Amino acid sequence: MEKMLEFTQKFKDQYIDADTFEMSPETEFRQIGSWDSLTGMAVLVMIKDDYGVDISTETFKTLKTVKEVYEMVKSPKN
Amino acid sequence: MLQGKDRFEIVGRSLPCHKYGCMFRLVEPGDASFIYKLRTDSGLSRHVNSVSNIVEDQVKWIKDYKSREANGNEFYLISVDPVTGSRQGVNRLYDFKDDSFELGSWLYLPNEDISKSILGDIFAKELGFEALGFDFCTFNVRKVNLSVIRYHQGYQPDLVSHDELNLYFKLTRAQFNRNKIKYLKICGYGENA
Repeated sequence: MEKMLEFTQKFKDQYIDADTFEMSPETEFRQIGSWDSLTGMAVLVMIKDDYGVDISTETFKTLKTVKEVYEMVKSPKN
Repeated sequence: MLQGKDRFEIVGRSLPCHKYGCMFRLVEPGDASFIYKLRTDSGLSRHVNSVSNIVEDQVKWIKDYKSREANGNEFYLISVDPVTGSRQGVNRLYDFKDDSFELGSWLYLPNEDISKSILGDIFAKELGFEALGFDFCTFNVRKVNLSVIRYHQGYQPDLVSHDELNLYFKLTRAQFNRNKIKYLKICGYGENA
């Protein structure tokens, strides 16, 4: 759980207004107002840099919540 | 340093080019309506220089650009879907110096997959670094355009200066080559793409 919360914080930090909202593992991250496709790219780069996992944009499109992304990072299938 | 005619010849040999699932070519006057649409899109145009509100002025701008292109002083790229033929976005290389070029006009349709936009940016940089042999490029980003700044910082460029409106960056060929790999992989292309 602790690792998932750490991941959630790192995910949140990719938003340009990260200090203005709350995020949990269940958050549907695209529903946050400041989300844009470059935020998504920043998340994927963070995952690559910090976890050494490659998630393609195609796979990422299928994920809705932070938790789903974290599960993919833990057990990458792509 | 390459002369303008050499640059024009090299780019003429390099384009059109099918790479990264896109077709890249030089902009033509027939692209004016598309570029006008990009530059007047309410979301995209927040952070670019404003343009005249008539398409005809865009046609004239492109015609003037074509003479700068013929002199090897500027190259305006357009990305086209090779299957549907639909236009996706643009990038521009200009202000060529002994060892550097300026990058700008990076605009892609907002409903396109972000990969197309990233791959277009990478292709433009490859044209400058690999085909034209420049050592570094420069570009500026509006300070308020935070997500674009974050994207560019992924290549670890040097922040050269700033003013009230913009941040000014310098990106070397080595910085680009070292960092483009992760973006290519995320966009579905391996290290040897």
